[in-house]
Amino acid sequence: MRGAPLILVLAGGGTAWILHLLTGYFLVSLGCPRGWPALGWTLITVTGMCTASAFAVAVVALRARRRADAGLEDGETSRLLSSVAALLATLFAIMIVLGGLAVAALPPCQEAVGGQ
Amino acid sequence: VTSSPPPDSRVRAFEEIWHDHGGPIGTLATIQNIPISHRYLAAAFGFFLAGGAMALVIRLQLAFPNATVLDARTYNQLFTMHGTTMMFLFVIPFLEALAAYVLPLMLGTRELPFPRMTALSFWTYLFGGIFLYSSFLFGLAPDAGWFAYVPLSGPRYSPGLGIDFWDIGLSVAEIAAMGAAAELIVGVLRMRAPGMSLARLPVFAWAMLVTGVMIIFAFTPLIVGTAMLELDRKHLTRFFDPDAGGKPLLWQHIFWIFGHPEVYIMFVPAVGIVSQVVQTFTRRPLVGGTLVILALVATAFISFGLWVHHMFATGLAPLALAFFTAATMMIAIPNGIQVFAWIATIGRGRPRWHPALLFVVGFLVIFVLGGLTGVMLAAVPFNWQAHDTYFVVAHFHYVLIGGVIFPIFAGLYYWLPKITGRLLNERLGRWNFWLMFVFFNITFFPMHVTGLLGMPRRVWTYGEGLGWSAGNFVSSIGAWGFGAAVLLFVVNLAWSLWRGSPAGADPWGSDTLEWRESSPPPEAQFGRLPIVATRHPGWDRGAPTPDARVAAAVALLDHAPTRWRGALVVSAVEGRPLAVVQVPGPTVVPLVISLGIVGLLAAALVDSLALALLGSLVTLAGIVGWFWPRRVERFAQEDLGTPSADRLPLAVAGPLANGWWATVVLVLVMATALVTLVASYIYLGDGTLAWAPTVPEPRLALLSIGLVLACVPAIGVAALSVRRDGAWTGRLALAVTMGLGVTSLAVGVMAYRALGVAPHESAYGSIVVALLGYQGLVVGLALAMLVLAQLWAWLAPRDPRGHAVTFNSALVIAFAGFNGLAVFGTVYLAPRLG
Repeated sequence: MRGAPLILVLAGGGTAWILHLLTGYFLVSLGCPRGWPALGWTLITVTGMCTASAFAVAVVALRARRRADAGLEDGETSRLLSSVAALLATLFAIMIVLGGLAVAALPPCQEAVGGQ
Repeated sequence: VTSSPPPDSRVRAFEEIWHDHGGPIGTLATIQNIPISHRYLAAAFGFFLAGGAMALVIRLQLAFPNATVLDARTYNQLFTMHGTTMMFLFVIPFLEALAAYVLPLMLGTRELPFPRMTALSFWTYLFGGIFLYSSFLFGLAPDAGWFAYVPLSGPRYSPGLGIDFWDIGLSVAEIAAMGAAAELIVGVLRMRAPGMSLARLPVFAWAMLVTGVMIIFAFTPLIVGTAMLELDRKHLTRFFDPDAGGKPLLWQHIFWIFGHPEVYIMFVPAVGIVSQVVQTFTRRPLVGGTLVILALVATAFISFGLWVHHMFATGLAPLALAFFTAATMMIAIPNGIQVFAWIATIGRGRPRWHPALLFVVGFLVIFVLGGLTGVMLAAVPFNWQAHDTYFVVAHFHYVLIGGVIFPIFAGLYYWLPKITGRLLNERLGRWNFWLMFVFFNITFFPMHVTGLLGMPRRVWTYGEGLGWSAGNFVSSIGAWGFGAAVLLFVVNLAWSLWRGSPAGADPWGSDTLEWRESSPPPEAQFGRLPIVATRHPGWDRGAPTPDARVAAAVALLDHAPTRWRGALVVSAVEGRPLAVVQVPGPTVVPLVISLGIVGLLAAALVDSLALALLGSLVTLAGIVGWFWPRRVERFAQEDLGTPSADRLPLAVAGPLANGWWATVVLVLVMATALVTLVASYIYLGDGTLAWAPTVPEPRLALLSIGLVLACVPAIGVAALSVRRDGAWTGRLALAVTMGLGVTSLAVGVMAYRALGVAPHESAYGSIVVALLGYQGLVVGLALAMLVLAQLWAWLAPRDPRGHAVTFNSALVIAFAGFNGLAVFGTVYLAPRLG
């Protein structure tokens, strides 16, 4: 694995996590004052999609790892990079799920707090 | 590879071509990584001592209640300059300088990819730092904190030139850091010993690669932000002025989207240093090396998603607070992986308790404590209680001194013998460590308590009877002790230079390549390139026989070339030899450009047109000198211009050339600036795209963007023609591209006039003009590159250096098209959504 596919699997999980974080933040910041309908379900859908994307990246990376183990690709480097990518994507998928727990536990729109 | 040694005459010629001559001009003209790194390290350490001295005066003022050592204004100036110095003028430049010294040796190559850029970064950084410090001479030192929050730093509440010194001086230091980052990224990915695949890359090199990428994405928003602040201060725009629809909190978002990754930009290189030191002094490979690399990449990502935790007290929706609390706590996962990996390595190895390893253990203890208070601060209710108190001061000093300064000292004890050729005194080193460790905790641990007792940050004095006096007194004693401990290191360094034992090539029995060269290393590093077959080339001798291509590359470059400075370029992933690159020799051009930039700085500060013209002329002269053809480049083409089966090509143009990759980095920087501006537009519009007072008429702008987009196929034809030696077609296509670009600019100016917005009247006008101006800037840059390409096409149509300019222009023009579409969509289409 090299070039764009390599960058994609290395960065895919992290990108899904950042997308989830930013989308969640902006949906709440923008949607609540405007009374957007079904905001809670939108957030849950976004969480689901981002989790699925991160897991999909992990699966692609694991398959690359298997190909490397089978000797179909340059062994040492492919094994390292695909292992790192698979672990990263799994970590980020878990992080998306944990971040998404707040969506399930809290109503999406509550008054802003903490301003001094 | 076993082959006969090269003749002495070739070795002498090789050493001569890499030798920089002395004398005043020779000293100023040197651009090699080693002498430049010496200066960079010395300057950064000088700023560290200056920043530390300011901290001691601050602690003197706070030692007793109602003290009058300093007045409030001077106190504000000192804590602002202390933070600014440590964050911008010490840690990042010092780590980049250390990397610039160590990396080429560690990677088994002869130089960094862009030595002129290294020199330019150094001079620009030095002049930027001096510029900032010169504010003390005029009694105008900045006094709004290292984060310069608006409105305090705006024109209304900071009317003098203090913040302008901060804004302008800092921008230059940031640009220097970004230049060095581009150098590190391209260097790690492309300039390595044959066989050094990514799997065999030392952890320090991984760390610097990750750091370089983070700097590109984190520093760009700050450069955009400081430009916006400076424009506001000059009353040209009103981005942050609420009276004109601006938002002060926009500054906080921009600053912390830089500021939080900045913490990890400092910490990630420390991870690299600690990993190398732990491996060497426990005499075993790092436990969980793959996981440590994973943690580095994960840290880089997560660090960009935490900035809002600096703004928990600004008023946020509970769900948004929950997102960022979760994200903040997650950073403990990669950090925990690293900490456990180091502890396991020490536990399973045979530690030699050298001062470098002691500093690592000190780092582990202090950093973990800082991490624990970080997790406490990630909890919103506690954050609100501790916000802006000395608890936070204690937390970030535990993280930054523990997580960065202790590893830097570990790195100094580890690599200084390589740099100076002499060992440091280990006994003094142990004293140095224990005093620093003990006095650090005496200084900063009581601050947790004074913070919890309610002492706010940044107060210049406090009254009696608040319960803060004892804690502050102890902290001040500790600070002065810590300062003395740091001076002990200076004493140790002086002792080492005077009476230290010769270090020899490898005093520690290390596993990486820098220890194969003499200490200090020769100017001509790696006359014979090493071949890497394992992750620990210093420990795993008896490497397998290299393949024919690797053997041929090593033989080709064995103490060669001798008429020009040449280095090997390898493939980024596998480390296979790809090409030979010509490395520039001594030149004063980087210094000249830096002086020109200083002129421009001063002009911006005092609003002098004459000074601006002078600065521009000097900078332009430097840029012309940078691109002026040289004889050695001709030699390089004569020697290697014709590739054949058994010879490596000369990398001049296209994806094989380092310059092409530097342009890719430039495009990433420009894309990040675009995202910052578009996000600012959305934020200023309260989250809506449709906030324009009137819906703008799009026809002229559409024409302007259409012309830029038409440049893309035109430059494509030019690039294809150049590749196929079609001189006339190439010139014509370049001329058409230039014509389209110039017309696009002219139409763009007309479109702006038709908009009827003024940047100084409203935040809307400010951001729209910023977006349109940015598009003009990108197209202008592309045009400047096209002028160069056209000159080459006429003067030397077959010269690959000219082809390189055409290919690189094509990248910038493609981005200009994308940028134009994004700007058009934001300014002209988005208002139609409402």
